This record gives sequence, C-alpha cells and structure tokens, in this order.
Amino acid sequence: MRVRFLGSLACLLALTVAAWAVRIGEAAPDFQGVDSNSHAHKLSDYRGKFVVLEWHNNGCPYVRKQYNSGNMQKLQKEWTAKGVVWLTIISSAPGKQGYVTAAEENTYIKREGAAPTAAILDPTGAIGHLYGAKTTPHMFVINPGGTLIYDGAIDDRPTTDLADIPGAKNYVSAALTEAMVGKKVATPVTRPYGCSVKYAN
Amino acid sequence: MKTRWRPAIVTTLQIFLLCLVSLNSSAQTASGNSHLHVSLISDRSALMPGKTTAVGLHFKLTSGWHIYWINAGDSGEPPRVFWTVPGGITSGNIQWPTPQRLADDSLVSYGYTNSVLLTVPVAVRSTFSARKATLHADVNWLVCREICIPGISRLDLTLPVSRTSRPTASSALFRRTRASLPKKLPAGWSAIASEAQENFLLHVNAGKRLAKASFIPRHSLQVSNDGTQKLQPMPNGIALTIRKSDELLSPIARLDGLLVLGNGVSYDISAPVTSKRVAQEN
Repeated sequence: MRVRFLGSLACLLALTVAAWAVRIGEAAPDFQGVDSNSHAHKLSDYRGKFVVLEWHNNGCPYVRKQYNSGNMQKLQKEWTAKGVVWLTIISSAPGKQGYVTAAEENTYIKREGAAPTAAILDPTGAIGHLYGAKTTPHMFVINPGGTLIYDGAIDDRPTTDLADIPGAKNYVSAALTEAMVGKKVATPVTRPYGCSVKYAN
Repeated sequence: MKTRWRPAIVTTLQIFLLCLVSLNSSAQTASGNSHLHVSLISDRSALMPGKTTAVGLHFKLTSGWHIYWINAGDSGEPPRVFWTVPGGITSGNIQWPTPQRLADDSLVSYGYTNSVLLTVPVAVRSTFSARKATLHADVNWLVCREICIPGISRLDLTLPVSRTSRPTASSALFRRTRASLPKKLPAGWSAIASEAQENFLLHVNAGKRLAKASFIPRHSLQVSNDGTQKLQPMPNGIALTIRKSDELLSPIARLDGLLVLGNGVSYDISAPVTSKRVAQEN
C-alpha cells in the first residue's frame, strides 16, 4: 500500500516536473524520438556533446528564408563538423503544414542539401510541447552537461526576406562559439520568430 | 456614314489609351493578395502646413485570416511600414488599436481579424510650400490562418497641401478607430505590480469595483501568453495574477501593456514592479 502510494507520488512529481517548461541554466528535458530513418534518439544519448534542436516546417516562409538562402544547411554542416549534434524536429500534426512522412523528409533533406545529424518526426507534438516550441524555426542549444544554454530565434532579423540573412546576428552560432570556449552565453534567450508550430488540435 | 463613325473610333481610342496609362502606372493606393487587401487612406482631403493629419493603412482580411499586433505573441510578426515622404513632412508611428487574443492550441498571439485601420500621424512643416505631396509607404505584412503568407505592398497617396481641408469618405472610420484606441489611465487610477515566484500581481486602483479585466503584454518574454490570468475584483478596482514567462531571466522595472476591461475599453499601462515579495500567492 505504502509502496503504491509512494509510486503514485513519484509519478505525480514526475508529471509535474515534465509539465514545467524548459529554463535556461536548467537541465534540458530528456526526450525520446524516432528519426526519418527509423532510428531512436534520446537527448541523454548525447550527453558530452553540444546539441542543437531546430524546429522545422518546410512550408513556413520563415523556414524557407533559411533554407532557400542555404543558410540553415550551411550552419548544419559547419557545426556538425565541429562535433555538434544537430536535430531537426518536425512537430506538425498529420494534415497540417509541414507534416512529412519519413520518406518525404529524406527526399527533402537530399533535395535541400540539408545536413542535420537526424530529422526527428514528432507528429504527436510530444517533444514540441515538452520544450514549449512555439515557432518554426525555434532553436534550442544544449551544452555537453545537458543544460539548456539558448532558447529562441535563429537570428536577430525577424523577417521572411532572404536579403536579411547576410547581415543578421546568428544567435545559435554565437551561443555555440561562446560556450565552446567556456564563456557565458551573452544572449541566452530571445523571442523566437516564425510561423506557429502546427500542433494537433 | 463615315463621319458618324469617326467620333466613336476616336473616343474608343482615347479610352483605350487611358486604360493603358493607368495599367502601366506604378502608383497605387491599394494592393494585397486573395486574403489581405491594404489601402493607404487619409482622414482629410488635404495636408495642411503647420498641422498634423492622420493617414492610415486600412487592412481588410478574408474570414479567419489575421494580422498581428505590435507584440505578436507566441508567433507571427506585425506589419512594418517604411515611409518615403517629401522633405518638410514627417511620418510618425503606427497607433495600434487594441488587439484580440488569437488562440490556436496552446499558442496565443495578438492581432486583428476582419478589418483594422492602423493610423499614422503625418506632420507638415509650417513653411512647406509645395501644392501637393506624395506619401509612399512600403508595407511588409504577414497574413495567417493555418498557414502564413508574407507580402509587400508599395502604396502611394498624393494629397493637395493647402491651408484648409475637408473630411473624406474615410473620416468616419478614422473617428471610430481613434475612439477605440487604448486610452491613458484616467486621473485618479493607478496600476502597480508586485511579484511572487511564478507570477506578477497587478493591482489596479480605479476608485470603483472592476468586475472583469485582462492584461495584454506590450513586450515578449515577460508574461506567459497562454497562462490563465486569475482575477480578483476588489471594492476599489481589481487584482490580476499573471503568470510569468519561463523565458524571463531578470527582474523588470515595469510591466507594460494593455488593461482591457470587460466592456472592451482598454488602457495603456506601465505598472512599476515592486521587488517586495508577497507572502502568499492569490
């Protein structure tokens, strides 16, 4: 009886903790997801590496700005070459903009020349809700210790104009650059800009 | 027979040429797409030297589509205007009507549906001597329903400049819009905030009981947009418990935003946040 009660209490606590959104300086919540090649991923698999989470919807004009310009692909290549784990996450529900099957995502990645470590399909929105992902793109950076060090926009130009890429300050690159040399991230939080994540109703 | 045909041919040609000219003209006061139509209109028939006149961007949207307020909320971007005006004329900032709360699943934005007039004051130097002036607005907009469509409208409005002006067909719309803009807090009212661990407590003293109110934040990353605000009507006003944003990293000096009452009237507030902690959350 007591064991069951304690078990329920622990479960309730776990649920409560899971309901808290992510916070800078705190442990990023561990998630489980399956990628477009049917491989399973947990955040805890990557303890010891920097991890970037990139919320994605291939139809959103703010995402198109980053991909049509080649900017996102360039960032993916640059940072994965430095040992960063880059996970594209798609939380669009079936029938909504951005939803893709595994095959469609693989075709897309090839066509766009994208280079994430993996593209995680999250059609139930479980991972999106766990992180409080609001827009596409919405970027999170997690350090090798599993702590969230950046949450927000990809850069400081909240527009759909490709011309705004070259002059933009990229917050993801800034956070990774600073953290990799042991500096405190100067801008850990910004308002993410983009289309709303197309969660299931 | 021949002489009766000629005037008709000439008139047809004239009409045809006129059509060509207007089709080729790049000056337009309105544009958009199938879901958004925006036009540049004026409150008065003329600009006046030494005076300020209201012009406006009149957005008309198809059902279910929306554009965003200056703080768009969880997603979206407000329209942005870049003005090109003659020397001696100054364009001001957009005056934002009170937005609606637009909820989609757990994400909440602030914006407008159906139609909205975003007014902009235009000031003319008293020594302005030209007889007319063309105001040019490049408007970057984003219109969304389940998907988002961005666009740019390049609008021109040429107005005479004279000592007097008359109302226009749009003046009634300008008047209604002006009346619905957020107001300054009435004399004798006050708004102050205190903070607890998870919430801001906003106390509004109005000298009378307020049954219903909600707070719309002016800045992002301060309060949660999806959090339910708890209300406590008081004999002399109302108290609101507003959940903080998870992204709020350091204390803020003031809580800026709109206080929207049950009757739809809204007030611009800038409530100083006292660091005094409240022992018990409401």
